[in-house]
Amino acid sequence: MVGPGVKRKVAIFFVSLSLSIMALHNQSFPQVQGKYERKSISYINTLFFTHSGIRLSRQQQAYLLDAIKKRIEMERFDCNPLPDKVIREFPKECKTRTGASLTELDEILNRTVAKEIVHILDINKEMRAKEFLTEADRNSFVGTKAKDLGITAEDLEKIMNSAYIFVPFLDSCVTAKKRGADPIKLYGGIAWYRLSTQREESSITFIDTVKAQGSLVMASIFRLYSPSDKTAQFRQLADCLAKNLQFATRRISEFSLAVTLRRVDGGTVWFGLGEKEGVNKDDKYYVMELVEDTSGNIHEKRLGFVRVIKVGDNQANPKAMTKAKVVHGSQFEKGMFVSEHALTPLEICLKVNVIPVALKQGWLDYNSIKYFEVPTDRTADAYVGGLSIHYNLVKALNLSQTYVTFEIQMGAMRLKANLWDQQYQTDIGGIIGMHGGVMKKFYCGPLAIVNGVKFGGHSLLVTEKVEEINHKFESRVVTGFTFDLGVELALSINVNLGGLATYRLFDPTSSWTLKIKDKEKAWYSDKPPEVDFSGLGYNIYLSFSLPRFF
Amino acid sequence: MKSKYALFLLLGTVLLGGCQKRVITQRSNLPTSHEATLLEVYSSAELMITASGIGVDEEAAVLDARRSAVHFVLAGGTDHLLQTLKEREKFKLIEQEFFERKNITRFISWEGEEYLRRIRLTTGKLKIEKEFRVNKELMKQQLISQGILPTEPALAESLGLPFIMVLPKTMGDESPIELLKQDRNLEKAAQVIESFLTARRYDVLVPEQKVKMDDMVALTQSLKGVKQDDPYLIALLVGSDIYITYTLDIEHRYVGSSEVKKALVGVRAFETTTSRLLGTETGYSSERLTSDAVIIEEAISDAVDNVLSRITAYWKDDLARGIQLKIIMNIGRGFSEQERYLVTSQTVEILKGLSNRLKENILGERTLDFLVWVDPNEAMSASEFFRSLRREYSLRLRTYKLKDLLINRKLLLLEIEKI
Repeated sequence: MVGPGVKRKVAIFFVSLSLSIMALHNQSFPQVQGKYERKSISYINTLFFTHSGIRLSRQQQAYLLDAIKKRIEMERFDCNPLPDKVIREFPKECKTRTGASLTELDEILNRTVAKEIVHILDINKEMRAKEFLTEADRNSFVGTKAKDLGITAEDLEKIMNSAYIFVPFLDSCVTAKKRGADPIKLYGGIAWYRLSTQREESSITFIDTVKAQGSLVMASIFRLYSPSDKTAQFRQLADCLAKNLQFATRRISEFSLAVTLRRVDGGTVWFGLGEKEGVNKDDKYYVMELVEDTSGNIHEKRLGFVRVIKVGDNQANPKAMTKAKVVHGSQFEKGMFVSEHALTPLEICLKVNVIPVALKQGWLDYNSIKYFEVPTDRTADAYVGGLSIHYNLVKALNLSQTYVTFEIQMGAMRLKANLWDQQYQTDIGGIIGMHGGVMKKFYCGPLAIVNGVKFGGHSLLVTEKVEEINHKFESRVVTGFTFDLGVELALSINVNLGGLATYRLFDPTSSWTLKIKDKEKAWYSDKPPEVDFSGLGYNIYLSFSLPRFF
Repeated sequence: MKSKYALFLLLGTVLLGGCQKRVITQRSNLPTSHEATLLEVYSSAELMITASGIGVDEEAAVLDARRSAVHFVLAGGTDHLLQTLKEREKFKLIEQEFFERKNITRFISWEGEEYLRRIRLTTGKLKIEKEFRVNKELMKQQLISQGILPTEPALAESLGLPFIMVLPKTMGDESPIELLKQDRNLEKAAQVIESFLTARRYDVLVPEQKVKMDDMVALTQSLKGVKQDDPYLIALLVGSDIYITYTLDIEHRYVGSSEVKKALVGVRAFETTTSRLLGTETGYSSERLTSDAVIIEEAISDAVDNVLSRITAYWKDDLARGIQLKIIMNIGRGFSEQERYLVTSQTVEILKGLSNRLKENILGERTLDFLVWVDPNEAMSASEFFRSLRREYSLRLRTYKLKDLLINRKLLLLEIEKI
């Protein structure tokens, strides 16, 4: 049996990991400001360094800027593209790009880009102001009898005063511990500024920064680049940072999507956001309502959450609605509102697997002695901890709740084995494994039926110190398929609890590696022990939807 | 035996209990919330209103919001349908039936799909705010048919069929008709006011046409050799019983390169011959990117509905208090101080006797200026009143006679002469 000390260490590891993951979600969700109103954004194509000593080549900077631009210029924004000539003025005005304060840039922006943005807003404001026309406006005297759009000065001023400028910056760049090594981590962010035209002279003021980091963890796991290809490596790093900045931007209250529910029918809701705002299938939204307390103050109360199953094409038809299924909560009503909760398509899963392992009697001979012997046939359950990553393929395949999975497993099982002609015994065997596959969930309320298939390998490892010498007996890695079927319960918008029955189809193996002092030795046997990982097992797991990429 | 009695008692109790009349408490149809705001006067017949409703669930809250919107038109704001105490008392008798779901739905010509606001209250009830377009005219027709409100034509008839003319306010010697010809915005404003008046079946005079008709009459008379009647010509200058005058300003400014405009209007209605102000109201449009005509109509609609409502309110008062007439008497030459005193005091007594109320404006040496309120059942017109007045004079002041210089609508210009 696994020793109590090991058990405690494993438990501490998983609890710490769970807490770390949950801490990622421990951000106050954005306060809903009511219906989301379109903003316009302008991009300053200059990378600002907040500290000296950051070394990136021109190509790397150009790629990073482009990646950030693509991710931040989301459908929910109208873009005010600035002419190159104007953008070139900005770095010239910033006499030094390093060590300067981001809050001091607003004065430079005022001098260089403010006028141009005002000009662009002025050209587009009448068209963009149509967005603010309400149902009542369209049915008012002006809208019906006068057959006029009825755009008011207030609508135009809203357009002129809802323009934002974002400037990307880099805080630090971590490289591997060798000279001339390429970056492996980037810490950076976006500084947001707002244009105001309320006074005679327009002015740009600093609002806030959002920060994020980019790393190569995911890219490494999913082998998205070749370690020898440094360009591809940096691009993965830049893309990771850019994606995380996008998620951080979506969580800013002014930029977060929110709207009232237009229709509710049992477990389905409809609301008036769609392709125009960049809503996607499987996006999750909190459902909230306004509540009055005993002091007469109004505050928001979270009632549950929904998941988008069909996105409305409100580009072609402004009245088109997005359809979402209720996952958590009940008795939703028209007039409640939904608020975006931006999550990556990644889930990280902590599992406890129970895997049946059959060991058949056999031995390995070395130096004319039975070096390793399994005295009797035995089937035992291996308790294996797993860490898996699921990636939702909804954007690629347009199939809801369809995942590609990757899992690494490590655990132990109880066995009886004799070493050195029965002079020593051992009763623990280690199990390691790695799998990849696909998984599909079918939701009904908070419950989902989960099924999946994986392909991967396992091996059994027995290690023991005999007379101060390390002995390692490892079975050949056997590959096979694992079929999963189970249920999952949504505990919250980020956390699910699940249990799966698993059936493994693996070829048994009698092939072993014997290592003494880490040197492989040739063994011989008429009847080596046979290991078979096939059979019916189960697991329980906690999965966390991640708010950013790694 | 005893058990038979017990059974009999038990059966009797059950039967009596079943026969008892069950008191069914009926829920009131009156609105709970009463919160409503006027958004705009959509047309001469309809109002756009936001109203809140409170209910145990969504359906109940929306129904309450509809009731609040209808209630606002009836009794909320500054110019509502139920203007007098008598009307409100009459309405109380039918209010439950009036606010029934099926009935109020008839008056709502449009209802917003979205909720402006939805709040869960501490009591657990729901408060919902929505927009409605309420047909005020249809409501008025129903109240008229149920005898709660008088019809405007009937009201007008009982007050002597006043005619209304719409003219822009002028400064100095400017001719309003010339202004209408030259300024299209002023013409547009007049059209909007006239559309409200005609929709409500008021009698309206077209100023340009009236001038033409007056000229035609004068020309015809002169061709026929009819002696010119100067007082008549002077009286013609008055035009109509009621004037509605208006001022119009359009403000411009720029938001970026787009010019936005806002119309500001003032509408005033008054009786021409008594100078009595019947109603005055200001109206504003939103600041819009649109043509002048649209904001003018928006601003005028904002004002004129209230003004017409106040005219109606005054007419209802007149029915109760009496029609107001202005009497200016000139004491002729050759009266001694004693005689003047006698004539003045007797005139006051006679007028008190013939009217509901009397107001002495000026009692000068030779000119007496009065306002009287006359029961319309006793004297529908100024001329009728004059005949009654002259009759009393001949009975009480035999040595003096009352002569009419000019009777023009509600103005009586009279002269007292010695016989």
